[in-house]
Amino acid sequence: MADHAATLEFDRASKRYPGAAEPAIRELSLEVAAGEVCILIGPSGCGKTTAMRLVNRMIELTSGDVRLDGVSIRDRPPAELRRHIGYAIQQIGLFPHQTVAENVATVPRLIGWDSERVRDRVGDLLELVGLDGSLRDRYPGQLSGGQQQRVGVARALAADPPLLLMDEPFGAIDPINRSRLQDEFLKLQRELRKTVVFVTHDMDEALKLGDRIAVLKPGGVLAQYAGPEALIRDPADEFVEEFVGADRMIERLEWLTSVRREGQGA
Amino acid sequence: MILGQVQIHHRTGGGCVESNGLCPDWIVHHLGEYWSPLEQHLWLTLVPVACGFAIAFGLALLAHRRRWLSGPVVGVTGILYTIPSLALFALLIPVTGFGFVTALIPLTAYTLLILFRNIAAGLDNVPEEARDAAVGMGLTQHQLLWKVEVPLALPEIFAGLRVATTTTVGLAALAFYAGAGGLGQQILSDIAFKSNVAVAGLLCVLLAFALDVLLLAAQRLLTPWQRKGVAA
Repeated sequence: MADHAATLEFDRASKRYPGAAEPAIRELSLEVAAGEVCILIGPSGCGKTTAMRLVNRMIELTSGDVRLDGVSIRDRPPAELRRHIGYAIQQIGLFPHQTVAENVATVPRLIGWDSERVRDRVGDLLELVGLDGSLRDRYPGQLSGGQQQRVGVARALAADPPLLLMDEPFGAIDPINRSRLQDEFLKLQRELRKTVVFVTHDMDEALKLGDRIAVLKPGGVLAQYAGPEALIRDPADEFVEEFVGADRMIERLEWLTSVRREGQGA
Repeated sequence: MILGQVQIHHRTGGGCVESNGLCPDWIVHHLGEYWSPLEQHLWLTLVPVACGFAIAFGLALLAHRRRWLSGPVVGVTGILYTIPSLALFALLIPVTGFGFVTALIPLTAYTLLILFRNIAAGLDNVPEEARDAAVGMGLTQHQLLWKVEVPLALPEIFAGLRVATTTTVGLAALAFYAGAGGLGQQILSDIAFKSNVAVAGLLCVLLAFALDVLLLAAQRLLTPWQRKGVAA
């Protein structure tokens, strides 16, 4: 379905809020290859959500740059930029006054798809995220938390964006459903091959879903950027070691193999 | 001034009328005389509420963008609300003369406080995450307002309209003082006669009730997500 995934590059990106003594993000540099899932993780106050929101200009850079397919986000008007970046957040933010179908159709309508194309696309997306088509005329208030989250993901994918931003999208879901949604995410991602920036504070989730994981320290400093196995085997410093739980390295590696395989079978 | 408008009716027609009772026969025969005051009363309600809504909506949109405006607007409309209506009519008569406009200005002024507060509260109560998602998906400020914030404010907006409308039906009964007619004029025209007062009074109540039912129906139509079994 996806004919395109973007490359994303943070180039010494910094953010200092007006009046704050210390920057929230300090010279963050990292690259996400097309079709990869990049996890931003760290304790609260490390700036992981700030870093994600820099990408679609929900928060504006103080210095440095963020490039999407080599083009600086500064050179694109915010609203236009955002319509080409999928956006899913923990609180989901479905529009209570719109049906499931209307919610999912938000961005396609904004960019002027005709109604037939929108209708077909909504049907495909609901199927893709495992929702029954009979739900399309329901309102968000009539759905379970898990169903709402699926609608949120379908809405983020609606206009087939080359990049997806997800801020703790499964954070408010109970553990059993969260695990299922994670498995579905892996399955979906194998099919779609989007470039994804995924914020979480849950290391298990990061190891399970990430192709590469950026561990941020308080103060918005990048501690390490590596794949899940490398993070467990070779933590860059004590902070990462403790955060990853590398002291239980063998257990961690076994667990990692099992969840990744499970995800593939899902 | 009031006395000048009072006409002494010569009532005829049976013992009931002469003994000043509630007379079904008299009421049936004279019901036609009430349509014109009722219609005046309807306009004395609809026009002020419509004008008040337009002004309050504009002010609420401004205050939504410029927060500091909210306090002064509530202050000024609050002061307007406390001026007794008869005093305001009396103040306006030398300026705008007897008639509809003199009634319209105070009646409109009284709707502003309730309408402004409700519209502003409705816009403020939009869930933050819905706003964040909307902006994050690339809605402009203008689209955010008209596609998300205003629709989600509709329940509060309608609540304000219902209170403002019912209140205005009541206040419009005093519009005779400004020379604007209405059911109040009809009551005054033969205030000593129970049947007359009862019919005119009842029509006031029915008008308020009917307008309230219409507003409620419009609200249900426009906010389908709020219906029973739909809301979370």
